[in-house]
Amino acid sequence: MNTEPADILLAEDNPNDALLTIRSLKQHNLANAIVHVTDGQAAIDYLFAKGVYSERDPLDLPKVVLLDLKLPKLNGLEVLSLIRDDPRTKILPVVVLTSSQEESDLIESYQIGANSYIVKPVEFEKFSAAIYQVGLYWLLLNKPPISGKKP
Amino acid sequence: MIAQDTSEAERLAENRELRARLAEAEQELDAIRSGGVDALVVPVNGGRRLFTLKGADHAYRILIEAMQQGALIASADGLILYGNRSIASMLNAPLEKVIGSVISDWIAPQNQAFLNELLRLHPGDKHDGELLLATTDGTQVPTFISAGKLVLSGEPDQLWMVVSDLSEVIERRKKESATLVQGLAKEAQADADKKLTAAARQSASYMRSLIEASLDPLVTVSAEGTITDVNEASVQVTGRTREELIGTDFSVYFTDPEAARSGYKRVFAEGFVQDYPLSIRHANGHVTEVLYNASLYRDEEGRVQGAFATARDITARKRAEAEILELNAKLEKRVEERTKALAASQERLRLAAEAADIGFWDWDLASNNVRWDKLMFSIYGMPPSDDGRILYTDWTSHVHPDDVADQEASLLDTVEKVGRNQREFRIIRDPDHAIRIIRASDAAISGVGGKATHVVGINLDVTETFERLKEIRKLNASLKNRAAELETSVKELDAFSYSVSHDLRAPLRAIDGFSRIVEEDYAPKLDDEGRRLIGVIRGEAQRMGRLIDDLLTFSRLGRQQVESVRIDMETMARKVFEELTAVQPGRVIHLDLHPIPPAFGTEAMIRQVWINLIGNAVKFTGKRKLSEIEIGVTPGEAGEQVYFVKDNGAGFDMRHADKLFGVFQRLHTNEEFPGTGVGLALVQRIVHRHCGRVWGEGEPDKGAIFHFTIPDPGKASGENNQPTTISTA
Repeated sequence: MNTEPADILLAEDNPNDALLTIRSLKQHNLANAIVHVTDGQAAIDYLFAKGVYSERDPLDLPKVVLLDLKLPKLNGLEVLSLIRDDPRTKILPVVVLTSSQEESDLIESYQIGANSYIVKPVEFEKFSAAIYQVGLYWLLLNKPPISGKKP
Repeated sequence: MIAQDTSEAERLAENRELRARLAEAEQELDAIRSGGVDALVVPVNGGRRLFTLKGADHAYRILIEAMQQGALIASADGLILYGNRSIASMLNAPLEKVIGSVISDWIAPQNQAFLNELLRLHPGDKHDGELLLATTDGTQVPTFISAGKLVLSGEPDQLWMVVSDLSEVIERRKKESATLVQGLAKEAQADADKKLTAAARQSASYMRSLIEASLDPLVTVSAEGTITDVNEASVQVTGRTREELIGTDFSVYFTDPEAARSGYKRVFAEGFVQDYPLSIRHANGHVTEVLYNASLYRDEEGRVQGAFATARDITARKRAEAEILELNAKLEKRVEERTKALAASQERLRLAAEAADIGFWDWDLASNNVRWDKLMFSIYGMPPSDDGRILYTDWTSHVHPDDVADQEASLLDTVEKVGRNQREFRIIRDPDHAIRIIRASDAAISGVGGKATHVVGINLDVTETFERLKEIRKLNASLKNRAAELETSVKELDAFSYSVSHDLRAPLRAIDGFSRIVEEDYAPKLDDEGRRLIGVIRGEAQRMGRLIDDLLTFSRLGRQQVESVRIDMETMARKVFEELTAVQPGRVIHLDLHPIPPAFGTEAMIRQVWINLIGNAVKFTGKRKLSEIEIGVTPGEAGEQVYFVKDNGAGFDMRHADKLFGVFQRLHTNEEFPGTGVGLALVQRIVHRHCGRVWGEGEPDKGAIFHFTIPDPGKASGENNQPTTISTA
């Protein structure tokens, strides 16, 4: 399994959305190292180096997690809770990237500790622009709290 | 004293006469007993009567018994065999005790020798003399006695004795002798006089003290009506000195002299008056109410000297009486008032009870009498009895058989606890045998000792109420079910909306995104028609995205709380207009904005109303060279504000006005005017959530006007604009 360190962990079950997201990042040269998982449990296993990711170094964390809310096995809010409950990932940047415009989802996400909440637009140009903004900000502009093992 | 002396003198004379007659009779008796006489004739009651030996004993006995003198017969050894009443009275002992006693016991020690002489008298001898009797109370009574010996054939001699009380005679004799020896014993008499005067003075002084000590005014009045003497109390009550009072006419000191004189006359006529009411006037004008008691007084010869009168001050008593009268009057008045108030209150209660169809009953436990008022009879469908009286069993026989036991138990509880109870039970009404439901209240009334004597209560036929209540309960239950169903529907709708927002948008995003990828990655292979077709796909996908967004907004509105915040409607309308027309190249849009009063509501929602209405106005005037939009307010019913947005746009046919506010309902094609058909539905939903109204008017190709109201929640329940709890909260 992929044990390479990543800049972005993308948790997204919809392959089309994932494809569009990765394409948008690539178009803007931001897709250096993307790890894509398709359910909540996989996202947790990757971050804590468990299951198929047990070979991974758990200290090697991504710069940002792009988290969909509607995920199989563990949903996005559950994944976010587990991330915030663990001292190792307590301050890991997590951007909620979702189709949900529900106010309750938005409020709950921030309460659990999301760093940002972005609604995916239907229009591709707008979607692409949003992904670019997120990638630019979290990968290049933001000074991450944890510097991974990578020099 | 002198008057008494007179009668005593008379009695003394009588005594002497009797003694003479006795001596005569004794001689005659002696003669008879000694056989000298056989019978004698004595004058009686104007005739003569013959007394024989036989009848003499009885007559003598009566005579002896009637005598004022004492008489006794004793045996030779001194045992008293007979005595009359007078001797007993002189000895101050009952006759029974005298007879059978020894005579020497009754004679003073210094006279015992004299007694012995008498006992030793020879038959036929007679002896007179003075003898001191010794009475039971220890005093000695001076007497004059005659005594002799009776000779009885075959029996021992007996001593007879007749005794006259001399105690008063001696006094008299003393005086007589004093008169006789006046000249001879001047010094002695002066001494005696002195002693007498002293005694008299002492007596007078004693009397005087008594009179003065009296708190009641005492006065003696002469026969002529002048005051002869007064006491200190009289001085106090009249305010005049003793010297001023004595010698004046008594009647002038009363408020009514005539009444005083007539009272005085009555004393003379009747000898006395008792509780004669008069008022004494003090020198300072103060009046004292008094009651007089008066009687005559006489001199030694019995001549009337004047009247002696005592007065009793009854001012305090009169005042107390007056106060009591006043109090009684007040009390009576209060009782009258309270009685009236009670009557009024009872009448009110009766009217209220009558109006409410409440029947009253009263159960007297002692007699087991039950009384009903007319309404009770009408509730039970019974003809009223004349005095309202019914039997307890008349009631129980009308109570539903299943309810009787419980009702009787409840009544018993009321009686035993001297308490009150509320009950509901069924009765079977008389004429139609209908089962009616009765609500009853009762209360026990306690008498002396705290035990219940009465139970009073009311009955109310609540059958209709009960039925209505049942109906209401049924309706409520079905409403509850319906509400629960609706709640479930809303939840389902929420879940649906959630799905829509996630699951429908993702494919659209994919359609749009992949169309874009085809455009980008396969551009050289596409001709113009191919690119146009891909553009259509992308446009429709994006339109569906907007539809979904609008629909979500619309459904979310149903769950949003409506607030009541003051909103500056004029500013809001202007800003919305400016935002909407900021990017409209080539358009000339004229706004006529009138002053608009503020409204109370949820700001974001009301903004959405303005956005949709003004947005429509801008959109539907798009084909005009000059778009004219007018925003303002007109007064509506009951002073409410009616906001309006008017345009000179495409308008609409009023025949389709009913479709204006339906979701996805459109009156224009998408080609004419693009839109989702959700805007006005959203407006209506918001306005309705604010309890307002919204309606539109239009004419094809002329324009449209949309009205809406947002009622002020503070005014919702009243006409006037008083501050409510909302404004102070």
